[in-house]
Amino acid sequence: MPDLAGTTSLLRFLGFRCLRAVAIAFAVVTIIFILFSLVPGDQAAYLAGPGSTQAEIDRLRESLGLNDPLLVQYFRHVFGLLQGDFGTSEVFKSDPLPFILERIPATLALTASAIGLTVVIGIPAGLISAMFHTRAPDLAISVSVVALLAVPNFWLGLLLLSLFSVQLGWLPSFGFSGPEALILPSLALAARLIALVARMTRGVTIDELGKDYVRTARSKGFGRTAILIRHVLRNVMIPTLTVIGLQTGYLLGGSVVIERLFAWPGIGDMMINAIGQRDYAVAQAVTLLFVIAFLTINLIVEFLYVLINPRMRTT
Amino acid sequence: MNTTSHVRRHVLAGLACVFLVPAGAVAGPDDNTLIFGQRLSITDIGPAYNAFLQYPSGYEAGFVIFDRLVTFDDQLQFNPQLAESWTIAEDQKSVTFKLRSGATFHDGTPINAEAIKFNIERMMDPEINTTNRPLWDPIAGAEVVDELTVRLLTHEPYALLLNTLAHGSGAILSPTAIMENGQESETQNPVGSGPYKVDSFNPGLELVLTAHDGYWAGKPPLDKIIFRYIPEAATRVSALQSGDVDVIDGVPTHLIAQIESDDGLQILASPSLRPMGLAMQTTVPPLDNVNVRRALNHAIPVDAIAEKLFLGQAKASNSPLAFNTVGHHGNEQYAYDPDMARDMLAAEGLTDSDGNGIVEHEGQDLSFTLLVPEGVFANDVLIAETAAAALQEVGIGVEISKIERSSFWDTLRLPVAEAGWQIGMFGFNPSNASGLYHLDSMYTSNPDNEGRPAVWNITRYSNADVDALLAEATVTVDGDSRAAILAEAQEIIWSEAPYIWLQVNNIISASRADLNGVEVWPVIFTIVRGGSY
Repeated sequence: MPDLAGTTSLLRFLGFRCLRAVAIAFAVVTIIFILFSLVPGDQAAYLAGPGSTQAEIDRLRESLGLNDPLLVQYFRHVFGLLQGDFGTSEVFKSDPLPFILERIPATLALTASAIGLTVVIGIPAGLISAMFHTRAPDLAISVSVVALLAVPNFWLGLLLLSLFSVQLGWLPSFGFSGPEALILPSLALAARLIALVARMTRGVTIDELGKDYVRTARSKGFGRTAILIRHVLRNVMIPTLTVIGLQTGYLLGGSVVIERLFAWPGIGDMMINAIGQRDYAVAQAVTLLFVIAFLTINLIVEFLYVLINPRMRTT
Repeated sequence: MNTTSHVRRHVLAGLACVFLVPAGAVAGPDDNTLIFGQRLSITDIGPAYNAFLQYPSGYEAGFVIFDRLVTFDDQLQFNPQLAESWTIAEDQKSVTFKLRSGATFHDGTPINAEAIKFNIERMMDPEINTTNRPLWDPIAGAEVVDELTVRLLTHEPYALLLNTLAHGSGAILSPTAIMENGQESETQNPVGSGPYKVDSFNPGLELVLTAHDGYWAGKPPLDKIIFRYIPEAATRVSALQSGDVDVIDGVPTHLIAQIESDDGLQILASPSLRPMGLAMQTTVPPLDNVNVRRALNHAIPVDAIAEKLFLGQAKASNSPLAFNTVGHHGNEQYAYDPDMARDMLAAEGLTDSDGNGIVEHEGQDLSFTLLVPEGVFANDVLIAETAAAALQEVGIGVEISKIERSSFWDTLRLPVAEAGWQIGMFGFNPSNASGLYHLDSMYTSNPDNEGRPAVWNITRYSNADVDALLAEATVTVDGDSRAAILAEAQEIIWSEAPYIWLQVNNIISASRADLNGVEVWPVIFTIVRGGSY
């Protein structure tokens, strides 16, 4: 029964990876907690505001539980999280979760649209580049790739803003007012990934085009384009999709910068503000959310990888 | 199965909301909406419960949603709002207000003496009004005289009663709404009586107001006002240029030219009430020596800072108070003269004997840590670098310590021994426009001078004459006599130089050129209440 054995080892592999993800998440919770308690300045003094007296600050410290030993605060925090309690946001004056959940669709839409652009632009650009290897289109695309890798996404966003919303007036300059509002921020966000994927696709395609099966297909009389689409593309997609999967984590980081630039109603900008306002409940919850998203994406990528390449299961 | 589709429906509804809600709003006169792109987000609206967390964005919304008994104009003079007139009692310890008749809250309930009493007593409660204590502590209570007459009592004659009532925390809210929805409902869903009422509120992102048709001064000119948070200055300017918003605040000086070159836009600037300065720890030698402090004042090219760093959108100070603050009294400026500064330091025994360019104090090279925040004050880091270079020019070593904005205010107020800085950038903004409040907050002696300052006396400045003058001014209700007392205090403080006095910069906002009635108040606020096309 070789099939059953394969399934068992797949399940064992998955179980092991899930456990590892949980352990990592726990470690991250601990690290986040330590980092936040190391941040200079007194949360109570900040919340009490300028002009507050020492007595007011002390009272606030007591009510926030900041006078308890760090270990007690840590266990309270962890037990709270296990029960889905993220604490009370001092800015929203309530459980921050509903506010965070409300912001997630915008961040998801931005990330998804950036990945979409990467697939739609990056892969064809790489294929075209490979097909016209060392000729004009290849050179043009390769130069663009280098340029996109060199430009910081923040600056690219400003350029796009100035051209498409100020000069031409085609697209909204900020916010998530409709599908068209996704174009500028997701372009700015995806630029680097588009370049990476184009370069990757180009390299792999050039390799594949030199292989025996391509020569065989050509000798059978198939055209270049047909071979590319029917045979080569399939082999190219595997490493390319892996790169996209692994880089999605990078997109999450970039979205913090891009969300701020485009006043995007997502969780990235929310996290920056929470840190600035000493709203630890929100900052910790969003950071944790980013970590979980990152771990989940990695799990999915690993899972896909194992499906494609069974030899991975034993490692 | 059922749960899944339920969840899916929620997610779809969430997505639909994100797409649809803002799509209804178009900037400009097309649908008679005003969109205000704000530098900071609004997280809660009401005057109580940590109102400062939203400063100044939340106050700016409050000035539209709420009425107060009296208001400022853009010259900071008092105008009637819910009160038609007021009279001060003989003993100066109470003021009687005659209310406007026929005014109603957004929920239709009447504004009467009971409602005013309810609000005043609410703001007197330190559990509810947690932040603006110095403004409200002098008030003793409120009495209903008749339906439309209310009397406010103060513990002592209180010169700044009207300033407090005109302040953002003087907002009058519907008692009915608070009784029904709870004390804290004001932070998310406040009911006031201003020309526009809350339609929807997404904390930290967007606040939508619609016209209050029953407004006592007649139907407001706009249908909608939207406050939208846009953190990046370059994006705010782009949004204004592309017509996506109608008003923006926080225009950096280097982007002014870009706006001025566009005929469809206008700059709205007003000199602020916040005189910037470098606070010196006056208990730490050699900064405890007044002549050393004066010498440092002669070492800084303040005019050049105003001209070159602010492109003329700033002016060198001549008083501890800003030029437009009520009670401002000008003094002779400390001329920029590095040679004179060196001579003055030498006269105090601070000379460079080992030829390394830095003077010695008690055998050690004299060096100060200059604390500066990044992005709290306009051009803060640039000014600190300019000042450091200028001080080094006269032989004072300076190490700049940049600090992240959320830790900045707390670091300024640390006890002397823990502070870690000897010179720190600071500017106080008197949000009630009063010079007395300003001087009192910054220069009245601290009860414990080595500990945390009681308010904002971070220089640990202490002068019994100044203390006596400020105490006298607090109980002097007559404006002219009070101004004379404050002038004397300003002369003393200016000459004793607890600060290296810097510049007063303009508050710079911008709007479409065809938008009228938007005011920029020197107290930092951009007021869109009177906006119309």
